[in-house]
Amino acid sequence: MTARKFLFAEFAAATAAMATATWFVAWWAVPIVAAAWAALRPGDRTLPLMAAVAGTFSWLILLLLPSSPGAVARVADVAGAAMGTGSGPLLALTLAFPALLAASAASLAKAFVSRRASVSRAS
Amino acid sequence: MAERSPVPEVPRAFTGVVAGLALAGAMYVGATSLRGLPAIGPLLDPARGIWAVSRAAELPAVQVVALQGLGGTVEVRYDDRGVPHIFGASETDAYRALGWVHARDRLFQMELTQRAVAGTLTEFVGARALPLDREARRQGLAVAAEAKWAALDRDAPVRAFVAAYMDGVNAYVRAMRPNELPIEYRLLGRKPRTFQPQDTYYLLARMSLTLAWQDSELQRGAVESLVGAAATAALFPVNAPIQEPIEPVAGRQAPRYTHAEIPAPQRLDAKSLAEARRWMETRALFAAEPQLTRGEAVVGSNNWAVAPGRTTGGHALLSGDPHLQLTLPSIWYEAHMVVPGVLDVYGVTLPLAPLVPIGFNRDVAWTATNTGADVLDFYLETVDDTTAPARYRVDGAWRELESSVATYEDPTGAVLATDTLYRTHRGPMVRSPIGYVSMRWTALELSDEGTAFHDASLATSAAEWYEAMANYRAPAQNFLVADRGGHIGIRSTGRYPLRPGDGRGDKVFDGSLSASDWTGDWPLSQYPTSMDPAQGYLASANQQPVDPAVRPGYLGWDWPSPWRAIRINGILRADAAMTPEKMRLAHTDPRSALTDAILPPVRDAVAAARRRGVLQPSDSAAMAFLDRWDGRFDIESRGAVLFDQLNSALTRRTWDEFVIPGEDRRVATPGSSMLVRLLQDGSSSWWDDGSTAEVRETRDDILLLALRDAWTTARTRFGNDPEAWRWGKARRMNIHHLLRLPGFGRESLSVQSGPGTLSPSESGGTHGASWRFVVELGEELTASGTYPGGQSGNPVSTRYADRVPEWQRGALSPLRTPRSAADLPDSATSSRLTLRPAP
Repeated sequence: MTARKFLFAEFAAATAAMATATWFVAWWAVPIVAAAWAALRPGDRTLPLMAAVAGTFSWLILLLLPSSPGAVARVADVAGAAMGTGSGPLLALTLAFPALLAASAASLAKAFVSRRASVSRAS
Repeated sequence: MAERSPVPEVPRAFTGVVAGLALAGAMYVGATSLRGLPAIGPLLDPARGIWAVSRAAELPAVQVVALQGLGGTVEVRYDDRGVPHIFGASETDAYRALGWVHARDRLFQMELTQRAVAGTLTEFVGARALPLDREARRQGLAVAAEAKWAALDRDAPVRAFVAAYMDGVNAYVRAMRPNELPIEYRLLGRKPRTFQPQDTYYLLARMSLTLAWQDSELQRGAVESLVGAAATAALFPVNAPIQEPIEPVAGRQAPRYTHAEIPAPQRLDAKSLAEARRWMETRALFAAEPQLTRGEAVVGSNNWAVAPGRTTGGHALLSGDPHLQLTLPSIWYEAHMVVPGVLDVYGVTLPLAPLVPIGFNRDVAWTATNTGADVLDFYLETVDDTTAPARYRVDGAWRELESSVATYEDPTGAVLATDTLYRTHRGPMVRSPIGYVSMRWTALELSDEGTAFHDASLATSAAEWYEAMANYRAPAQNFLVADRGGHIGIRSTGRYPLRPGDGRGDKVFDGSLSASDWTGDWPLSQYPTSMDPAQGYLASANQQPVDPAVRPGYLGWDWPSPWRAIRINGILRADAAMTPEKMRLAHTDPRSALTDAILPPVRDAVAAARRRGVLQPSDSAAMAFLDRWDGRFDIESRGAVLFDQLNSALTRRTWDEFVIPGEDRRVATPGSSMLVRLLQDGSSSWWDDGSTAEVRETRDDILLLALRDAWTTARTRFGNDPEAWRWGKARRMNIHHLLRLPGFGRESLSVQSGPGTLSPSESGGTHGASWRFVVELGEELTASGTYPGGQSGNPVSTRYADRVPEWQRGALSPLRTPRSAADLPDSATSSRLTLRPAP
């Protein structure tokens, strides 16, 4: 398997893990998965960004898979109007929120693991 | 050479700190509720948050559910209009299934209804509902609902039916998947409560509040303060000045007009004004939001039936057209229940009750309009302590007051406020600017409407139907019935109190005398009734039920003007070959008897002004525009736009005496039939505009000024080119969501309706026909109907508001009435639900 293919498989697995965790646990499972992923790959500088994209993708899948785009659009319309945000910003917020959770958790985990590695090397 | 770290130590630590702060911030924001709103984490969660409602928007094609308490399997087939046809082996099973399907489609509405009556909305939506909760607790309907349930015989069948129904509701709530929680709960961050059987009686109490809350005596106090007792008695009379009664008068072919003088208004002084304000403040204590029952109501229900001899099909026809505040989801939910050999009833149900208030079975069809009888009285009480009363005096002796403390809590359980609630032997008592006032109201007294409606749904003839409803008490309704035997009938059914003295209830009574108390009830034999009248048709439109010249008796006062009744009777009188299609068309008939009464005097006033040389070019233009109008309130009409403005301006200019100086609303408005009566008296002092002390206006002056106002306002609001005006754009209907959530309603709808038409409308556009249906009682009963909404309470569902366009057009859909599950063809089945007894 080439590195690119491996990276893609890893990304897909992380996305699926975040979606599954959200489905069976709750929204706050996203940063846990992202942190775990980052802990496995502390040296990868791009991982927080990949985690953010995976977080967004995972929730997008959950929005679309079990229902139709039309139904999602109707939810965006009515909920966006009720909350005073409008449908577009509500949808954007919904997709940005897991990205923020995943990216920050991945960054934190990466920093933590790297620091522990540095400390253990130094000792 | 030392190995280089990919990231320098300090930046890495810095990155970690920033990431930690970002994560902590995101988690905090995601998990924290602010200002009563749900936290955004669970709210946006695609598995359980608001997005999940999209997955429960439509009914599954097939579903099998185990339901505890069922005696046998219940098959539910949803037809292509989303109507559940419930087939059970017993009534108890059928009602249990109805509870389940009601909860699936209308759970939030059911909870909101119960809480509105219980006065616990603050626990649900927070402090903003406090005024509504205080009002509800003061009215005492929840106490009455609990008492009615407690008083039901343990063995009463309806008790078992209601209990089974509520079990079905709770079974659905317990088994509900996360994505099935209605979106309103998600937005509010709440969970459904457990429903109780007595909640059905809360719903019935709510209907009494909507239809039989009669606080006009308090309003009348303000009116008397402003214009004097004599003028009040003439303008808000016990008997309507135009008589077109529900109970037909043999041989009469036209309305009967009476012409009582209208005394001049009294001179206003500071004391009268202060008194008027006190009356209005007292009224607001009992009901901050006046209900829709009194005076010149802008809403109005209609019903009419035609005997076989006046129909082309040779079968009785019945039409129902109840008008209410329109909401999404709709107040009504269509359902059909079949228990072979026992029950086969179709109609509109009210979520929270296993009853069919309007509908039909295989033999009988029934519908209702509001009677609007005076069934509530107020009493000015004498108490022992004006700050903290413990006793009240009756006939010189002190009696103990019942008191309790009402506590209002917010969703977190924090106490928002407390009130001490008092009760006399008459009912709830409040402290008001005019003193301590108690009330007695039929809706608060023991009765069993549940049994009445249930037994009526089993009737096989009109006579049986009325017999079953003999003990029906509140809210009083003009129940119209037709059967397959060709009989038609109407009876204004409800509890009507007998009062001492002159028998009238249009005043506040002296509470210190037991002689002020009700002395009994009207006997059933005295209820306004007609069965198979010689004229071959019957109609009601909230008008005074009986012509007092035929049969005197106090049933109420200040009856709505009978323009709709005149129009319906005119249509039915003129056509001896009625069909279901003609009945349907009448629902949105665009003509109004009111226009025929108003326009001729306006024309005369314009002609008089022309003769006097005071006519302005715009007056001529406005009158010419109205003269070209065909009098129809259809959506393309231009003249209707100007007439509506004219009607408003004329009302405003004529009844300026009813505005408390410095305020912008009239304390009351005499009915338009009073305005028509006044138009016959050109020099009445009522025409004088109080704000122009140096001039005494006449009728013709006011009519001309009103026409000018109308022309100016219409041009300002709808454009300078009158040919571009459209009634459908000027008058819109607004169907708001129950919580008025933006995006959840259907607003600015063009409909064929107007002042005085069978589909009356008002500027707010919030009230209208809540359900329209036509039934032909032939060998096989056929029916069609619709309501402005949809079966689902989920705003994302395609069935949430799918009937609104049909309703706007005045169209009806055929109603399917399969005798068994197999009778409903696959092509007409949208969902199959099987409810099996749980082990």
